[in-house]
Amino acid sequence: MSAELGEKQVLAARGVTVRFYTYAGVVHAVTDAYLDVFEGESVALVGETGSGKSVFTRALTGLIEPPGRIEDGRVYFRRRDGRVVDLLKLPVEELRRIRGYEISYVFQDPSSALDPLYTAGDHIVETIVEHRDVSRREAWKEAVRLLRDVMIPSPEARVKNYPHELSGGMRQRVVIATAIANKPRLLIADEPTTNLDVTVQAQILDLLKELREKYGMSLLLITHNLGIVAETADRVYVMYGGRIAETADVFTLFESPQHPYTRLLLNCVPNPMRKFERLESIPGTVPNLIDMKPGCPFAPRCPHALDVCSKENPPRVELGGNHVVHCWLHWKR
Amino acid sequence: MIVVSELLRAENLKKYFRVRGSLFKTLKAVDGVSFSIREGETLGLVGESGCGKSTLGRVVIRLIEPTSGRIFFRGKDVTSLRGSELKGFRREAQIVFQDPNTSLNPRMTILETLMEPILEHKIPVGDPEGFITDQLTRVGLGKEHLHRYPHELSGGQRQRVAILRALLPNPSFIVLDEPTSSLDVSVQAQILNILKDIQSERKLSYLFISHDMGVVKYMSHRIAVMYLGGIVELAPSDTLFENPLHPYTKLLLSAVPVPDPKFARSRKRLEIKGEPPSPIDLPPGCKFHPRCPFVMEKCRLERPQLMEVEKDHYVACWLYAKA
Repeated sequence: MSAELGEKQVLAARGVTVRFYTYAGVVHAVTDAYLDVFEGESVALVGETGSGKSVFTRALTGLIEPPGRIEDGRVYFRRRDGRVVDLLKLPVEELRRIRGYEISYVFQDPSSALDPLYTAGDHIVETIVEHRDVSRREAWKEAVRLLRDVMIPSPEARVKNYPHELSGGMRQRVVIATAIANKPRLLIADEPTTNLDVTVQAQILDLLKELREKYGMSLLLITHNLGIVAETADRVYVMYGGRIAETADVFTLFESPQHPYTRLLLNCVPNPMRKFERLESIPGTVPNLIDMKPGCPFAPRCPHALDVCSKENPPRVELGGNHVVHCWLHWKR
Repeated sequence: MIVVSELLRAENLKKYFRVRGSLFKTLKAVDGVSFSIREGETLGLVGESGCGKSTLGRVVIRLIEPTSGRIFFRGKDVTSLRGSELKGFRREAQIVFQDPNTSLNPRMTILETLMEPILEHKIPVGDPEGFITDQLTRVGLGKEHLHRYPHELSGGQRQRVAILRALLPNPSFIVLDEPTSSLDVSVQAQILNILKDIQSERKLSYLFISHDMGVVKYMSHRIAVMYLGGIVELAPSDTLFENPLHPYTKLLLSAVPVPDPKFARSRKRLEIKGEPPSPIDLPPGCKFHPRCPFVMEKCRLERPQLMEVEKDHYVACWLYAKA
């Protein structure tokens, strides 16, 4: 046990702040964001374009390049051997040993995640021999097994295929096979199905669920699709304007959302199984994060905004049962 | 009795593309499609990538010439129109593309872009700039946007410009090819509502192409489901969702993520086999038979045609053929 992480907890991010220093000004991409992931859990991070969700999850393992800078934050992670480390304080070599071994990423576009000059097998083998003491021959056999695990038909042949010989869905399966090659404790999947067709998307989501159960790994899923959240997540974080707006378990969040943004967002999405007379829409557009002033980032679009909302950062209000909302409307003195 | 008149009818449309590097192979993007769209109606067209839905959308307004088949507009055959008659049809039938970043000319200001249809179709407006300024408010933009370039607008604003450009010639039919799939959900809802408002105001007809079942359901009166170049099912929106008949439609609906965790976890998913085959080497018989859980001998041999199994509910599947 350690003070930073509870029992069965894999990751705890606190106060993560990321800024980009561009010619246009300072972009406040992520401000004071936090996140918990427990063992075997599926956590979704939801947000629209520019909400900072991708930057936040990259920052978890220090994957921010100039002109970006991680200004502040602690990311506690429980390693395989039980030690708890702060990922943002580790030396680069140490982090590299964790990435791809204990924490893996799956990014949105499988076409750019795979090197066109290497076969599916090469990608997986490289990840294995980089982190573990196995021969290439052994690793190659494992690659075939992994491709079978991600349900690629005739994996013995496919392992020798180059990315261009595979369909989009197959490529994403190869990327996932690479990511799980070392049985990571945490898989971070950033919009893993956004470019894929719905039937293929359903296959990939089912696959992620199965692998989670099989390997006992935790999943952090970044998405803008509330349907996918409802299908796969145990707990949800909603991000807006670089800040966490609300977090709750998936049922609470969909049934009794408390942040005005979450409520509006849920009403924007046409549910194919229900009848709608008219969709609600949120007036205005997502905020510009350059040179942000204090105050709630949603205040300019919020139908219930108070005077205080545009002046002071929203307070953290705990509603019980791990339901937390960052909103002045819920603030009681 | 209210007679709803038919605005557009497609009869056995086909569009084959030659495959480069091969003398004999053809890609059958659209392979014998027939449907009609009524006045003031939205026909939704859903299907996965590569099913030919975008090609079909372009063929019906003759942006691409069909290989064979006929297109009727207000009862008149427009398949082989040329010259000024074709231009008249072009004014009536417009299109909004998926990606406003590439469909707007980056070197033209919004005013210049919107002047194009007015000049091209010689639309009689006294003061074009004043007219365009007026019209901008209909799509939720303002005078301040007139002299901006596309890169100075957000994605949602750009799509509003593209929609307005399609509206200016006062068309009666617009093909909407995934008009909101590059937008955020909060912005998507704004655009969908604008499209609905304009439709009820002007009695416009839409062909609404999308892969998002929720969006299609919200927008459409009737929905056609496409698979590998053919329509496999066509029904009123609610009917299609409540009582899907074609196995592919069932598969598609059971794969759609539903933003309702209780429902999502209680429903049964259909087991999905494989991915759509290449439209170049189509399987014989029903194109869906290699993936279909209910495949019969007949499906491998003979291709089913669309047949009306209930009122207004068409399906191309041997399971529903009367013996």
